[in-house]
Amino acid sequence: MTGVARAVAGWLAPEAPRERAVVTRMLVGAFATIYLLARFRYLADASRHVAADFAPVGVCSVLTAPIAASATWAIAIVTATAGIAFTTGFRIRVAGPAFFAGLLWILSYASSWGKIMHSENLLVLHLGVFALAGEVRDERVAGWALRAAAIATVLGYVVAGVTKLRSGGTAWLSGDALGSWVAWDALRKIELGSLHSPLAARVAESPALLQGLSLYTLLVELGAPVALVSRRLARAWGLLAWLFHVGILATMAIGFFYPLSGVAFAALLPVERVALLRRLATRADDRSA
Amino acid sequence: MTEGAGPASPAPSSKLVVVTPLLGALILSPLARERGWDSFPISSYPMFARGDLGTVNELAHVLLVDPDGGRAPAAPSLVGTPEPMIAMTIVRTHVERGSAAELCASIASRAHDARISAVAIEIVTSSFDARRYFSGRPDARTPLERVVHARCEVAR
Repeated sequence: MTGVARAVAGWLAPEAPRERAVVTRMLVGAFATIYLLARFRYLADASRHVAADFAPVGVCSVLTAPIAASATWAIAIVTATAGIAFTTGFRIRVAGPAFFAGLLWILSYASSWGKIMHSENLLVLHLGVFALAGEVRDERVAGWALRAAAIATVLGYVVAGVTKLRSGGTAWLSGDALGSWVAWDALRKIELGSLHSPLAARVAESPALLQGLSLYTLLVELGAPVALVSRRLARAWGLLAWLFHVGILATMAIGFFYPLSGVAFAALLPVERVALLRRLATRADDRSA
Repeated sequence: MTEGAGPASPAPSSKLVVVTPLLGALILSPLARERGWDSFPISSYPMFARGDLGTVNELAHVLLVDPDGGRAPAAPSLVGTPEPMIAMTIVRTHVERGSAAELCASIASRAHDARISAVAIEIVTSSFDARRYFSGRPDARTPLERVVHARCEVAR
């Protein structure tokens, strides 16, 4: 291995505390399991849809028609069981890949009816990373998992930012695009009989505020790579990104619950310093050993 | 983020190290595709990205007609989903396919089962001016234009 290759490999898999990776794995697993259980009926029962509306995405693109209701329920039950095992550290080498594969399938299937739920993308990618890391047997595997999860987080935000500039260009820099979207999103939610943010109308009427929020959005999204530079910058960016999602919730009534929970940023933070999390993760770790 | 204390750990499996660039390339790959490309869990995140939305737009949606002739939005659950954006997609798809009457009948059936007081259901496409909509004027929420694709009675 040459010096450059060794340096790159070292950056991709730095040494990091095992406890941090185990706590992050537990948090990601717990969030994913609770998310699945909280929306169990919605995700397991696709019978409310009509077959003609089926528009498969991602891994479900292999399908040409919806699968039987008994199969969707069975997959959801097996996946939830694997999720509980993964989170609690029981047979993690089997439970991790099973949970990842099951959740990827379930969420892809749920997004195959005309509306893709983008709030779930990062959760699935993080779960895939920690499923692959398995028992996190040493500090290098811990560092690899945390760095890979951080890279997935950062690149997702970068893609969202670049897309805004590609599609919206100067309208995104001026705040015009955001103003149009905030107003239209609130309007359509009212007309679709759903909840909307009471702040939307006020925000949409303030060009200065819209431009500030637009630039903040682009700063968070395009500036995400700074989170890979140092731990301090990672924490600062994580806070800015979390506030960005709080702002989306407040102005557009759109809840990206994974980042809002903070778990999406756990790989950037010294989460093992929280005594309760460390205790729980140690128990899960003992079980997986 | 590196914690350098203690004796060096063995290098991780080269398979793991190779996974990260592949994952990164996969996440970045939508940038090499056409604008608006979308999938799951890899996406270009096209929602809210367009800059030419403007203020006047069309919306396919469902109205509940009350006994006095007043109209109110139907909840997404009546369309068959708890998600408003999926409800919007379902209505738009049926309008485009020419099967609005079929959708109308299924919503009327759900409205009957839910004992909703509406006397009829309408599947419509409305054109709204978002700036005017939130202006506070008495007629602010009246659409600029409305096309009724299907109307069906709710069984009493």
